[in-house]
Amino acid sequence: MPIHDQGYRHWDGEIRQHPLRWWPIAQRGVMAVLPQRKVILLIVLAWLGPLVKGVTLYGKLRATDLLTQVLGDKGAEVGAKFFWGAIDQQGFIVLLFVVLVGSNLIAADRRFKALQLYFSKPLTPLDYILGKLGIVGTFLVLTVWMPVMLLWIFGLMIEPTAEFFGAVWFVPFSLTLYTLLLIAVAGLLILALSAVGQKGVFIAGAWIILFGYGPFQLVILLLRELSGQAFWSLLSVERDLEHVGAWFFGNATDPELHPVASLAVLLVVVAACYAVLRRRIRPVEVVL
Amino acid sequence: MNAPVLECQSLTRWYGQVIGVSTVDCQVGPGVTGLLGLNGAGKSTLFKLMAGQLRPSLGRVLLLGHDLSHHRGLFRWIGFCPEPDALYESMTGREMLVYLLRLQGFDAPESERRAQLALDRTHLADAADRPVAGYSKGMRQKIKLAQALAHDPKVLFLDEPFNGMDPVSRYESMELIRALGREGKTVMVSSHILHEVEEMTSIILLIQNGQILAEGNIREIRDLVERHPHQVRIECEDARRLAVDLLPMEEVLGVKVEAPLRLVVETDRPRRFFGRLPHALLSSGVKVRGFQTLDDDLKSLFEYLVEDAG
Repeated sequence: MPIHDQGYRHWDGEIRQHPLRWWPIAQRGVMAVLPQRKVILLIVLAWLGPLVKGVTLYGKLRATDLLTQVLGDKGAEVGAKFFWGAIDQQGFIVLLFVVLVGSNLIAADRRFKALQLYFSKPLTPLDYILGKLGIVGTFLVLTVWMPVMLLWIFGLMIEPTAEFFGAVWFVPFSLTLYTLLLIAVAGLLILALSAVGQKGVFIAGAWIILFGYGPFQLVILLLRELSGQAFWSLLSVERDLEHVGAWFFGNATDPELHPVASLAVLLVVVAACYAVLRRRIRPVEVVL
Repeated sequence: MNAPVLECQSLTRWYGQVIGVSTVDCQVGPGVTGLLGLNGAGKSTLFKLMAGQLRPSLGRVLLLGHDLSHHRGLFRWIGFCPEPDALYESMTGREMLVYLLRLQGFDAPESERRAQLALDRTHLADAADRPVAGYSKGMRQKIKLAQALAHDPKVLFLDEPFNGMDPVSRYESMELIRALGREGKTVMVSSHILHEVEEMTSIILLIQNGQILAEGNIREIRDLVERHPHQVRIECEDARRLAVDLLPMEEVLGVKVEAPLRLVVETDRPRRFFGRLPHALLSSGVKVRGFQTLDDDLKSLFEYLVEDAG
């Protein structure tokens, strides 16, 4: 019979955190969502817009004579604004992806009481949030960052001139910055709602309203028009993102509001969502 | 003196105005320890505090000499089997284990290897590639047990691990827990069934009203229980006749006929009574259909302990 040491064995091992502990959560989440037919269809749809933009880009840079004949276009200059337009047109796809992928991410874990299992592992709440955010983020990178980045590379390939490069060199930086901001705002908002709500459909509805789509957007515009005060627009997260995004690309969509004000609102939203998540994400739900 | 693997120091947890656990001080060493308590005694709260699932309002839990609430990395050495069904229904048993092992920091091949070992150890290998949604209650308990031990932790917390298990699974799981204890792991098992714990360990912690009522060897507790009158219900074909035959026995304090076919015997020396009972029954000639000891349960045990403490 084996004789085991029954005495205390002091543990001198490493108790530091692994910096990428969140990665398996993101990876597993993406792999669980990716094979779904509706998700594949949505990804295809998401790439249609940039594909059309690619054709337009080719037309503007290489076939201006033809374009002029067909559309009466004078062959408008291609600059950072063109790439911002490619991002901006992805708005509805972003909405669909966020609500489809994000609504149940934490709500399902709470339903299955899986948080107990997560937090019996050496995971911090931040690891868990980053992992879940990584799932939403992956799909936003797939539908916003990647196509626009390819569009930029395509542009440089067909117009490898210093003039063109000089006009669009900062696009990758602006694009990355905007995508990160989009992931942080849209992703954390859906995760916070998922940590509070139970049913995916209500979580999705709440996100659409809070993000500032649909009727809420109209109400904000109406209030702005009636009061003549531009600050009402700050209440729409979607408008704030658009405002800041355009600013990153060297444009201003709202001359009455400084983009920094919109950025400040977005940072407040991120901080509020993170606070909600830290409060709600616990291994054991204490009901008083 | 060697430091304990797990130590609770003045551990207290409030839920608003309600005290869940109050100033618990205890030490747990290697081997299997049973945490026993009635429903609502604070057993689950204490268990979750010890396993780091809840933060204490006061006091602290030391695991391997380190404060559990300050070192998240210590969870590498904890295996936790929760009482509720905390499972991903759409995953297969193997996928779930691999996923949870990846969260421990193992790479994919090592996670696969460890998952297979855990599945073999819990006798779940045949069902490993079926979705968890189709698992029976016993299999669900086993997969929870498998995920708790798959990463080879030093300390295991098993919250009511036998709930819903069939006798074979229960036996296999008890064997496994005993083996883990023999291997030198610290295994805490919570239960409200005394004999269940008794089959795995002789070391127990008894909790009531959020406080440790007794700790130590289960035999001492047994002896204490046996000093108190026991009640035995006997189902037989003629309760009145059997009552007349049993009453003269010196171990019998009294007999109550509950129904024509049922009586309750009170005895202050249960071991001696059970030793002499077969002879008494043969002499009486009354056919017996069944026995049930009425107060050899946890509730009586707690009542006796509280009585003794008083």
